[in-house]
Amino acid sequence: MAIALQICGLRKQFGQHIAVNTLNLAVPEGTFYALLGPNGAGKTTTLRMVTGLLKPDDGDAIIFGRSITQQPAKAKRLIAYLPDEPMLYGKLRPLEYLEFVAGLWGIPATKAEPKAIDLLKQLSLWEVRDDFAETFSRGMKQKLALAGAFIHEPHLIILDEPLSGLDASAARLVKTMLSDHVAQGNTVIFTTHTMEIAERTAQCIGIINHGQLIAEGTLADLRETLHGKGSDVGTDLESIFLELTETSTSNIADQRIKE
Amino acid sequence: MMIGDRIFRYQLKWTKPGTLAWLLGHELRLWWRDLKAKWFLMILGLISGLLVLTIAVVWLLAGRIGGQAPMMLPHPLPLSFLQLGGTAWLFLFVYSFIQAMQQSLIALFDRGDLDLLVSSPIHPKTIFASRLLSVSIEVFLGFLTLIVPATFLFMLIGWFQLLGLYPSLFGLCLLSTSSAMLLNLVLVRWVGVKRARTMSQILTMAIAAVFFVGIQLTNLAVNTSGQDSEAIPLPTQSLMASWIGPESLMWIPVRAMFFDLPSLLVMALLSGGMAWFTIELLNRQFVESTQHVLTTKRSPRPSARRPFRQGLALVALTKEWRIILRSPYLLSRTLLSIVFLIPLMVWVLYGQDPRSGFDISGIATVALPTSGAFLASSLGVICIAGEEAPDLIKSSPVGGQRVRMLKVLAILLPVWGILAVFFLMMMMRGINVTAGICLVILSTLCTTVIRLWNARPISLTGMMMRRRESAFNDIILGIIESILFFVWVILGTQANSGNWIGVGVILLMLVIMMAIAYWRSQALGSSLGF
Repeated sequence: MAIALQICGLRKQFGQHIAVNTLNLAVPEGTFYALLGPNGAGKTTTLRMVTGLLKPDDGDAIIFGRSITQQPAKAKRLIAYLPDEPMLYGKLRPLEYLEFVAGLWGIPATKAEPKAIDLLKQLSLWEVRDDFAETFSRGMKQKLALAGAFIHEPHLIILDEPLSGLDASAARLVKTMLSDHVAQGNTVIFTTHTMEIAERTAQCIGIINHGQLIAEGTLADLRETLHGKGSDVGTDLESIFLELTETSTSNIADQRIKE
Repeated sequence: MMIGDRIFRYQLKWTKPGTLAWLLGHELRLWWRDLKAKWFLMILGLISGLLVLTIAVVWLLAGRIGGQAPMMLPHPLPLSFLQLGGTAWLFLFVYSFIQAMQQSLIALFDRGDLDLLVSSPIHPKTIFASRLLSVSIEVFLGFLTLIVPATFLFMLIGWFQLLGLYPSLFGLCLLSTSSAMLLNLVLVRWVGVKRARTMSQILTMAIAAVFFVGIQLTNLAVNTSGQDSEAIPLPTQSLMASWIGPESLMWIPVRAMFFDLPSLLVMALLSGGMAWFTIELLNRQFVESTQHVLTTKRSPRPSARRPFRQGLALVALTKEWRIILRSPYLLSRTLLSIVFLIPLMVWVLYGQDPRSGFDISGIATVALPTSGAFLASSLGVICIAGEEAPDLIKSSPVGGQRVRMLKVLAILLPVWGILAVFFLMMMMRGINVTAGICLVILSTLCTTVIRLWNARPISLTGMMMRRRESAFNDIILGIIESILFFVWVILGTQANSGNWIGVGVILLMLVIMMAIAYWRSQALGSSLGF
């Protein structure tokens, strides 16, 4: 299986604070990957470097064999990024917004237009197609931004807290859309603070703390990391996550005291 | 900074919570903390104190040593004084009304604490009154920068009566704020909250434009017709004398400015009465409107759907122009600069009167390049600084440089389109416009490029509502951006007078300034986030 995203020694420092500390990560194609971590762990900084929004101090991110630092245009053509705050224009209507996004990714108008209409209908935004985005609720904005991410049919979608602000039915719709996208052989990487979502949707979970990957694998793999091989302790992801991050934090604190 | 905070702390401590004075203190404390130019007011206060002391000493010494009596204003005031004062009063009223319209919009709809206040046991009338008074005081304090130096000048020459400016200006601010709030709330009732905000912004600009164009066209009419008072028939003259003669009631606001006590009393009654009437009439509607902001949703107006456009250039230009056309505040500001061109258009069409001595070709070389630069700068705020989704552009495969160039084009095309109308009219009148066209291209291009280099991303919505975010990124580039407006005037004047050495020198200066700006922009990198 091809590697959708390969992160090699990625590092970013803001003043004295190391946000991402020589991070290595590989996400295979066709995976639903959840990146978890406490606040300030370096999740968003990592995603912003992967999508080319932030220049790494060191290391690189390779998207389907294309380096984001060396071949940014080729790499960006394959990805869509959805930040936690939707990137919208208040004074544009949904179809006008999607027309602009399609233009940015060079999608032919004949192909983009029916796709845009279809997405708006699928995301229950067709009824509000004549409204400006500034009048939308947070959930509606999030859905429109998601439509923008899907309009150019990316092979890799990267989402930062995609379900925040969505009601139950919208959240289910989004999860279904993302699962279908993965079922078609594409890759989805998302961050979340809601452990149940990661537990139910993700095929692979990565946990980062202090800018480093501290554990990775399926839920069973993580359980094994914590309790040893062959463990059948029915610990849920929340308990595993809390224990792993606390252990990692105390290890780092011990290391600092020794230094 | 500490002094201001301390004053408000004591004020809040010594007033009874929930009263108008207490709430007013709270409002003013918020205004003070939000004020960016605190240091300027501090310095102004210090200089004012020193000047008062100096004036007192100078007058004391003059009285003791020279024994000279202070120069007094003539009594009764001659018509010329009243006319001058009347123009000043009108200007100050329009200015304070515009300020009050903008500030009352913020006070009525944009501040986030209305729910808290309205849900508290404080009477809505007290809340509304405190908002009205705080806006009046804020507008009045804004005037101090203008009137404090002026009154010192008047005091130095002995016109102490002009201290009447202070109470009469506060009355004027109260009057204009009451009118502004009345108008804003009437608009809310008439068209709903959302449209009222837009209409109010456009109306404010329209009032300023009508005032400006009115003055310009009056001057123009007088200059071009050459009509003087002798040509006016006698009955009309006597009627005008009763209306605008020195004894006319029309001059009451002006007399109040000259410390005429009965006039001051009338103005106090008028402005106080207007404020009381506004508070009594509108305090209930104020509460309803506040809730209206949160609960109503305008039904969408169906738009005719157009097929998607093909190609980045077309899509990006369409997006920029859509956003320009849908930003009411910024659009009205842009339209205002177009409105300022109307007197020029009248000159182009009917000017060239040898008696007025007006040189029409100056419009092509001076006025149009300067107006073009102003217009380009205004549009630049919407297109360049007001980019709301820089991350979207940066995460796309399109190079940021290409998008920035398309933004420059989105600004230049409409500006050139508007100015082309003027050039065409001039060409039809046989005026040589070659130099003018070159200067327009130069001024608009340089202004837009500098705007691009000096843009600081701002939220268009935030700017529309509060207008407090600065679109300037760097002080050096900001200074060059400001100087350039003078450069176009001087360059145009030199070109018009045929002083080609002067043109060469200014062009050389321009090249140096642009080189510095380019160097600075390279050092800073793109501040737009893409």
